[in-house]
Amino acid sequence: MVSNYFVKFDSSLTIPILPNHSTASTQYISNTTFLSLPRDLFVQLFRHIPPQQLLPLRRVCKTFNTCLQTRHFALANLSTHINRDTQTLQTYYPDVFDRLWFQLPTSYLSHVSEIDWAYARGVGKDPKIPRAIGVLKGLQKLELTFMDLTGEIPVEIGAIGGAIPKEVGSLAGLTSLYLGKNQLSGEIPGELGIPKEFGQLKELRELRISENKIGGEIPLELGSCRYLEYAVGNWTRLATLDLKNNRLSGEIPRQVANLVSVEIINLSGNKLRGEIPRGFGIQHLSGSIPWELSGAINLRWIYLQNNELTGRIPEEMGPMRLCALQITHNYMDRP
Amino acid sequence: MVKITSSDNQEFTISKEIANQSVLIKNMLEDVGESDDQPIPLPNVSGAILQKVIEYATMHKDDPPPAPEDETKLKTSEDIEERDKEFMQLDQGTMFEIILAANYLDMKNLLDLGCKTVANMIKGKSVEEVRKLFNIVNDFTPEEEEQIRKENEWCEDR
Repeated sequence: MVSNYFVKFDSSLTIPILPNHSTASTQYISNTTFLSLPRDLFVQLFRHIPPQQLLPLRRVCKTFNTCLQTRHFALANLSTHINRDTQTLQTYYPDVFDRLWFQLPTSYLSHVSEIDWAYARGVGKDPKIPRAIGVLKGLQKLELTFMDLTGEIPVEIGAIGGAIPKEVGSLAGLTSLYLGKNQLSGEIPGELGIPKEFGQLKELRELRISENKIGGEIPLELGSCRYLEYAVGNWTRLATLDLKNNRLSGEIPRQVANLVSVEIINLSGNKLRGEIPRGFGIQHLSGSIPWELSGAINLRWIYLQNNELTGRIPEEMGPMRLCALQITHNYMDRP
Repeated sequence: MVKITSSDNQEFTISKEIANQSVLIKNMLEDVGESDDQPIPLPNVSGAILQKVIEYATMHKDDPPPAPEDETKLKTSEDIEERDKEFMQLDQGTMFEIILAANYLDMKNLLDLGCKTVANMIKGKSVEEVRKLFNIVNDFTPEEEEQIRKENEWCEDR
């Protein structure tokens, strides 16, 4: 069953100007030859041929080669062969992409702005993220939620069990990355977990990686994702910090400060240690506290249950307008 | 009835429902109004090709208008009606001119049919077979061709 499959393109397509190409006479009554057709008709015609059959024909002649590498062709061809129609879809699932789609010429792929493979389960065995994902320079959103992805994220993503490779950091235009409910492992930070190169994702607004097996500590580098609104980030625009049900350990970095917009913090189901931070809701800095959320005036929901937190609930939490504070199943002292 | 003339000044008289299958002619008729007796000039289409196009339009004049959701269904190039297949059994030059005419006259179904037919001719053919099919001269240097072959390793026959 295939239902969620979606590839979107940006709309700024130009019709390519190709060199005019005429061949010698033909034996037909009409002088009209294939190569004398207007270029936009080539595209109309080529769109009906699946890319893996068509791309070898780049070698036919220069006109073919040029036409088959234009964005105009890629748009027409991709939109014909990749759609929600089950029939034409199946050969385009990620495991096949690895051999096919992502090895297409860069020009064919560079304008893909959105990929949605969410819930594309049961398609092919051991679905993997295609190796050549790194050529998707125009990618703004990559949705891989609940895919039962296996294997590792290929370093080519710029590059799902396995770790998130640091090359993700090279997708400079990425604004959303949804990786929740997979089998991702590895550590935070460094190259084995959420790589610190994530910090280079200047445009990233959403990062959803809850319910994986990610361990290690939360990388401070995420703090430089200025626009991050959902996850961990510099922090001033962050509304939701949701890293629940992973294997995060250590302490939340004290740089998790100035969360003036944060409303929800969900770190439950990890292995976080240390004390509940003081400084909730007030401007307060102290070298001794493991983490602090000074200025988090909008914080309403805190979920910290099922960790290894110790110490006491800080007094400063008193004036906050919390709606929920879940801290059960830790090692805390009774107040 | 509507009168149209080809590039070589052949005049055809066709019914309005046939004429309206061309968006170009339809728009022209709407512009000039019903009463105009002047033939519509079609300087981009020869009489021989126009004859074939009218034949196609006559064959399809009773087709129900396509439902919008049929869009995806029509995209499969294997999905060609038998009568259309027969209609397209033509020499290449005529086939290409019909595609050009359908493009000019804005007849989406005929354009699609022509493009799918040619696409089906290309499908499954090797580079050399396609060159032969369309009488195309290889204009690459051996080095250039080798370079593309290398880039295409993933999809070329092993």
